[in-house]
Amino acid sequence: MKIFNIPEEENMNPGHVACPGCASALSMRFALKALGRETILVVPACCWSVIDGPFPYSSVKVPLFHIAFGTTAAFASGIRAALKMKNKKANVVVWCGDGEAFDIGFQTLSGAAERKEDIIFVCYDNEGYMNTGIQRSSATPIRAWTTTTPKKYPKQELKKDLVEIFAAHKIPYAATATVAFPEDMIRKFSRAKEIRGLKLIHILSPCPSGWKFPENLTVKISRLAVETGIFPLYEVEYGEKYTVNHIPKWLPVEEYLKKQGRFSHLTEKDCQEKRAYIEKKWLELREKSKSLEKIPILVNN
Amino acid sequence: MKFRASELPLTPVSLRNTIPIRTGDWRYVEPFYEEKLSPCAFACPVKTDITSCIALLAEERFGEAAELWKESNPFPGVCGRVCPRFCERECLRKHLGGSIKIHLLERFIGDLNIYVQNKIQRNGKKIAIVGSGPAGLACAYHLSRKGYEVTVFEKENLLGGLLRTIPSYRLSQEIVDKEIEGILKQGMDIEINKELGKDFSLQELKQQFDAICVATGLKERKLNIEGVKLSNVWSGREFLKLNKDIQNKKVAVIGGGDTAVDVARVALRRGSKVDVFYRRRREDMPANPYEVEEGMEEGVNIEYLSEPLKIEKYGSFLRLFLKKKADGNGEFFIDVDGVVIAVGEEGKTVDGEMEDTFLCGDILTQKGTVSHAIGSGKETASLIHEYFFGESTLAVLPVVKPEDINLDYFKVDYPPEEKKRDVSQRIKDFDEVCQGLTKEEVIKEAKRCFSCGKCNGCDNCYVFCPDAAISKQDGKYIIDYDHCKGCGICVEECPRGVVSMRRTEK
Ligand SMILES: Cc1cc2nc3c(=O)[nH]c(=O)nc-3n(C[C@H](O)[C@H](O)[C@H](O)COP(=O)(O)OP(=O)(O)OC[C@H]3O[C@@H](n4cnc5c(N)ncnc54)[C@H](O)[C@@H]3O)c2cc1C
Ligand SMILES: Cc1ncc(C[n+]2csc(CCOP(=O)(O)OP(=O)(O)O)c2C)c(N)n1
Ligand code: SF4
Ligand code: SF4
Ligand code: SF4
Ligand SMILES: [Mg+2]
Repeated sequence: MKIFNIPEEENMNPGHVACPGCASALSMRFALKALGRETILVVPACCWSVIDGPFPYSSVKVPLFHIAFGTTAAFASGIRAALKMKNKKANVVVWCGDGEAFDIGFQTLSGAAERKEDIIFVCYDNEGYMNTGIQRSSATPIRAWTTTTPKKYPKQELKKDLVEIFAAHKIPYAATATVAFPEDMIRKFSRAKEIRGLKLIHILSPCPSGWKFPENLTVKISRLAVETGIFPLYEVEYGEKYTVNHIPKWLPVEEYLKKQGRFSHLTEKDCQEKRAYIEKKWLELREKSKSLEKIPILVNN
Repeated sequence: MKFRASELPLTPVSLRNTIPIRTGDWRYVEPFYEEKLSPCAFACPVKTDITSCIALLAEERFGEAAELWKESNPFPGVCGRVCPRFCERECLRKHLGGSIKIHLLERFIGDLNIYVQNKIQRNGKKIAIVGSGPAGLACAYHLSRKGYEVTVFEKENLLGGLLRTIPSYRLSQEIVDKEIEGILKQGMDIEINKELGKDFSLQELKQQFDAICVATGLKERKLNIEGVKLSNVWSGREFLKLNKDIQNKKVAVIGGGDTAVDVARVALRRGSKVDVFYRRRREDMPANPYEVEEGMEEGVNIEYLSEPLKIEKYGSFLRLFLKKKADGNGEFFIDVDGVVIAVGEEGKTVDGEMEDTFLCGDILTQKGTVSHAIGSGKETASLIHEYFFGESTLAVLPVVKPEDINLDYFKVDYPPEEKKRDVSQRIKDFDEVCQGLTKEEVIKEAKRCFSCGKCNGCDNCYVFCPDAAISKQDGKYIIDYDHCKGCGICVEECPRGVVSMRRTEK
């Protein structure tokens, strides 16, 4: 009596050196199940440049390029061009952290989107520069603790909305995904494979070490992010056609926040603020998504 | 791996996979598969593997479900009807739509009326069992299935003990017959109309048998008040055996247990008007609460906190004097045609030396339910087996705790309502009130079960391992301890508490 049906094919080996309970390792496992062996990974400096294994080891069963921070989409564009010249087929996949996607590699990504490069750009978003010791990024949520936004002065700025930014680039496919919904994630990768042009997949990737929660709760936190409405699962085609994949249970936002040390200082007012942001995001989504017309938005308060 | 400079590739390419990296060495705790006892099975006095049986029902494998149930309990039809449902009180589904209606699934299994085969070789040991109530018969059943040569001695001319006094509107006697037939088919000798202490003695049995088990139940409790010897004053069991004399009369019942309520409902069906007098409160009544409810629906009146004082004969009727305990209203009386005293059980049915004999059922446990009697019979059979062969057959498993269940994987879902015959109809006859579930309802209800502590191959542990350290081989899940880092996601995401954690021995 399976709950989730995922492909049996295993394209990632054990022995990778991710922290115990790392969602970005699990995400890679799911992604490669959908992508298959005919895939080339492009990985900038981020946790995954460590996770894959020290020289001479690699945990993935596909080629993986370690490249300089801030260059991923450009590098991937180059690989696509080389494949074209050699008349070869493969999924060219960027696999990067939020530091690359939201900040340092943002310009190469925007450029590649504009040029309609045929690549799948995956950001596993652990909401901070985790590899270098949990510094804030523009993906860190407002009011969160990081080592550069201590509890006394937690982050003051809102998280960038990556999917909306690239929906505005009118890319053929942009989607969100997270590990608690493996079938949804795998379907999105399979879909991205079939579409030409730049595809963006934004994965929320709970990080036990950086978010300060016990490592057995990774999937639980991922599920709560969706079921509280904080992280909507949806797809956008050509910046226009919105499809929401899962209607949340509208669990109280505190259930998500209270499980994580990085939010332990939050006050009731902060929670209220979170609820307001969630509500705003869902109102926008409802506005844009035809299929959503009638759903109630019940952010608990 | 170490390299000399000359061996290094020109560009940094990886040369091999990460399998040699033993990330399992990081671990200080580790998951392991450990099937557990579900709380329902733990609460069931017979310790039936309810969960596995329900799983079979959900897959429509009814025959296998029945066989598995009967491996532990040969009386599912009976228990499904009259057991107070200890299992359902502990069911972890309780707060998500309501406990699984296990008794109805059990009843369904019983009504399939499937006989299990007994192909075991006889081991030459002879056992005498005295008393053919549910305890004696369950003990005989399990001993016969372990290879013993069993003889059951019963003082009455009918097997079944007190099951025979439970009225048929609750427990169809046909079901009792069929389940007893299934027990006898395991192979055993029966001696009816043979009373221990009258027709034979324990000493005589000891000469002919290798072991003796006494399962003769309890005697009815007597009430020490004036007038109990008058005519038309009966004990509960006496009254239930009568079938005439008391049609369309006015009857008073003293007591608050199953027997008292049964007497009241039987009298009602014979056209009488009935009042039950119980000395404590409703919540103190030892009777099965479901039965009390049904009785009240039918018009049984219960007066609580009423203590009987004496019975006197007044011309053609009896006058029962009582005292209200709570409000100091003091004494009152009621005039009736008959009084039934049903104040529970006490006192062993066999006196004297019981050395070197095994006991089971009410005489041993004084629990007063059919399922406890059956459970006790089963346990004593295991003890006898252990006595002869030294093998303990009673397994000890940890019990699933509520926090072991991951409720994220279950939705609120409600059980079916069992159909009951309409009050106006059912008080006219002795046919069964409760109608059980249909096959479709049984399957649907079985699917609501969480399968606490029993892996059902949901794959979650395999799906969510970030280290790809769980694989499937021949339908089993295997943990690769060279690479499991002990994150515990499999433990957390197992919906049903099958995966446990332990410290890693370093
Ligand atoms: C009216 C009534 C309703 C009940 N309703 C329920 C109910 O709804 N649910 C429930 O769980 N329980 C109920 N019970 C209780 C249940 O029936 C008993 O707890 C159970 O039957 C005990 O089983 P036992 O095998 O230990 O003893 P018993 O059933 O009492 O069987 C003992 C057997 O031993 C025989 N015996 C006694 N002395 C001798 C002797 N000297 N020689 C040979 N044979 C002898 C007796 O004839 C009898 O057959 C009810 C009881 C009564 C009376
Ligand atoms: C140009 C450049 N700047 C800075 C660094 C140092 N650096 C390496 S990884 C990293 C953080 C990456 O953060 P993110 O992309 O979110 O990935 P994560 O570590 O969180 O997985 C930084 C700042 C670098 N390697 N190169
Ligand atoms: S015998 Fe009683 S406790 Fe055991 S399964 Fe049946 S109803 Fe539940
Ligand atoms: S959910 Fe199923 S296994 Fe769990 S306690 Fe209830 S009946 Fe037993
Ligand atoms: S998660 Fe599913 S497959 Fe794994 S042990 Fe639990 S029930 Fe079995
Ligand atoms: Mg990051």
